[in-house]
Amino acid sequence: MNAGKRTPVATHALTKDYGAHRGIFDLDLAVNEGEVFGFLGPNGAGKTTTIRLLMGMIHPTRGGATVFGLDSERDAVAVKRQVGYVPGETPQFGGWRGSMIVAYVAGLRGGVSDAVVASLAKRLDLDLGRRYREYSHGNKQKLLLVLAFMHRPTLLILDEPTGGLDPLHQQVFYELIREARAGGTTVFLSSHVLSEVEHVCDRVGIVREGTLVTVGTLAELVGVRARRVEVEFAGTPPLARLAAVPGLEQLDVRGQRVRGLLRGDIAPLLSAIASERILDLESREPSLEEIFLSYYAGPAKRE
Amino acid sequence: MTLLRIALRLGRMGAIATAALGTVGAIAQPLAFATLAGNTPAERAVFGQQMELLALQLTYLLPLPHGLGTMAGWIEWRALGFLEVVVGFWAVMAASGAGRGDEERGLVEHWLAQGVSRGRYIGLRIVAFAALAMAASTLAVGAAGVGAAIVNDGVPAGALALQGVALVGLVLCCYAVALLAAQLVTTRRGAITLGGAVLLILYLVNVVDRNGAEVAAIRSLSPFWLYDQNHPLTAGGVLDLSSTLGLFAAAAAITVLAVVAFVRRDLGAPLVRRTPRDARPTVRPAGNPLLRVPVLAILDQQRVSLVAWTAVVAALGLFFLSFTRTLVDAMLATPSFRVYMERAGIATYTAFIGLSWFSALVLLVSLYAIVQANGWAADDQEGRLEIFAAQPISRARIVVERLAALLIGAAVIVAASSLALLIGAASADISLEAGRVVVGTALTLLVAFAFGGLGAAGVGWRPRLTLGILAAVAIVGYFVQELAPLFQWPEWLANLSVYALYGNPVMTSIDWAREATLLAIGAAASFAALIAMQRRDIGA
Repeated sequence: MNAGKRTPVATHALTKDYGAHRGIFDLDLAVNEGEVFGFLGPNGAGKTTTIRLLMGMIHPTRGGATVFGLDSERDAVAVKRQVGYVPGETPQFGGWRGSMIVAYVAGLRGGVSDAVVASLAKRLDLDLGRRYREYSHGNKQKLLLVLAFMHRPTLLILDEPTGGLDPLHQQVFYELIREARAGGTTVFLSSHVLSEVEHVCDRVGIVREGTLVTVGTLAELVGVRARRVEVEFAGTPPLARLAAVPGLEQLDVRGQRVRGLLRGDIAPLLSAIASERILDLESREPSLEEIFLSYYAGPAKRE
Repeated sequence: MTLLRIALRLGRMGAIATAALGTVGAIAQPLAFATLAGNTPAERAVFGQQMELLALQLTYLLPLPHGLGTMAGWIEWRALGFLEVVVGFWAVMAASGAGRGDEERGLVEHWLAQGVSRGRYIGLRIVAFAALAMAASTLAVGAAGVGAAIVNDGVPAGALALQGVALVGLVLCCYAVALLAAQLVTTRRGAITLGGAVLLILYLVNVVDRNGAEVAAIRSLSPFWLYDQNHPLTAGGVLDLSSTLGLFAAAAAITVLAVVAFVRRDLGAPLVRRTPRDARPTVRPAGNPLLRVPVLAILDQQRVSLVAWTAVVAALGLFFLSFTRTLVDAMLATPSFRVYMERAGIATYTAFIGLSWFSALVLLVSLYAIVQANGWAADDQEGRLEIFAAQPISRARIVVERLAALLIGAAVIVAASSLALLIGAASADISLEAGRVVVGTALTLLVAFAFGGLGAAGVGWRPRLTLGILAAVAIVGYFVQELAPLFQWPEWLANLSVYALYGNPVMTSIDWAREATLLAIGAAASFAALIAMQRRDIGA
């Protein structure tokens, strides 16, 4: 737990074991101050469990987490003073008006400016005068965003925050994130929407079946780790030699055209096809989506 | 068939609880009669006379007595009579669940999206409830027959079956009323409030009629009055055909209205939509300062229901007061009754109110606490608790604020009811000892504290089970208090009842040891709640 006093989020062997291989296991992660960290994974991968552990909503089976050096369990009140939170599921507030919910939560928190609330609601085009049950799913999500941003937190923990937002208001949300980061706020954002992560995140962690499989900047993940290659041969593709190329995965053969994902150096591939007549060769950086999918192609490596 | 099975499954908990309650009560009462009433006809006649006196004080809960010196009369009055309240409550909960609760949870939309027609959906829910109602009623009346047979004082099976038929008619009628009410509101809570209020009014119409007041013009509107007209056990094994047919006809007609309303309305909307009163858009938080003050914010959110509780409980107190003078004066004027009342310690207005009204008041206070605890469990299940817990407040504060709000709310309710009682007594020239009434009122808060503490601990431990656990505590407590003197159970067993621990401080001297035990239960349970809340996973 020596992750540093000012490390906004640090976890050490953080584990929540629900049994039957469900939960999150031995998560070691550090989020730097002022960065937007994307926590990426499909449904059921353990994103929400991790976030709820960070928020002290649930207790770890072992390991722990700190937020700005404070223990997320022991110092839960002090932690939450600095955090703005959007949960993964929209709550039900029945017949309460949006304005009442904001006032009530602001009363619990203290130190919330009405002007900030008004500004957020205006930008998100949210009418606080309406009853919560009359809100659409998107408007409920907007209200949760208002509750998360209204006290100008130094850390935002957001669990799939754009669920239900239309494209126009997704852009407003991205603006809010950029402004928060410019003001020094750290953002921990879970998502399975890859374009969203590409839009706003500085670094990305990919979680699979409860295990963190990789962490890196977008540049690292996109530029270094893999590239998409596609070769069209004039004759029959030399499949045996291609299969032997180190780092070449996901081979897809369609007639004389071969596609694959290459991790590492391209030289072995060029050597393998040097004796063949090539009609076309394409090599490009894969999209984040392709990288993401590449981590889900094989079985999990958890014991 | 699948949907019918699901409907039966969704209704099973209410049916099991009702059947269990009815069966236990129905089998215990014949045994109690055999123990208490004596063996000779003369002894039983004396017993019957004495019990009929007592019965006159319990008309708010039980029907008018007939032939209490016989097993049949006793079963009709004591074993099956209290089921009117139980099945009314069950019908409201079941109809609000089928008519609104499952809609709120998105289940109805899901089923309709699978190609089930609206008529088929609601029809199967009604059929499922009717099947469960028949099963629960059969078990209850069957248990009464078994209880009587055990003590070799059997009652005609045919008469019991007819009583069961009338009971099914009552349940279906109550269900139909509550199901129709559910079509007029948008939430399950609203459906419970409206359906419960309508049935309560209909019930009170019958209670007023039982006490001889002139409500002949409207009494036949009450399904409880129609049910009360049936005495197959004591009147020669026949049903009152017109009232029983009236029950079933009303149930059918109101059910049809409810079905039509369900088919015609939009999902998630009431049958009749109101134009929103406050359509002015705003982007600012509510200016209500109470929303920003701990505890008061909770009470402010509940202000409508708190006002309703206060008004209804105060009205019930005045209702009890309305027949106190007539009843006490009439009984004191009869020498044999006077002796009985003096022996029982209820020969004053204050003591009579203490016995009749305060016994009901503690039940209402515990019901209020159970409703609050149910709301705490809903906070967790519906995601509100996660929002509150994400704010910089400790989990202990959440528990303490909830309990404080419960006690303040309960204090407002009981204070208003007793104030109304004292003012009503003064204006009607009924002499009540204000000091005793005030102390008895204040001590009801210990019952609220005990139930609140147990509820908070239950919510911290298993939110989904809390309602059932608290209901069990209340029901077992009620039965233990009722049955302990009848069967001469040991004192420690009697003291397991929260209501027995409250005792009757208005009628008799206050047993401070028992009151302190109530306080200790509340304190220990609250402490357990604090620990449970710290340790638990929110939303799990």
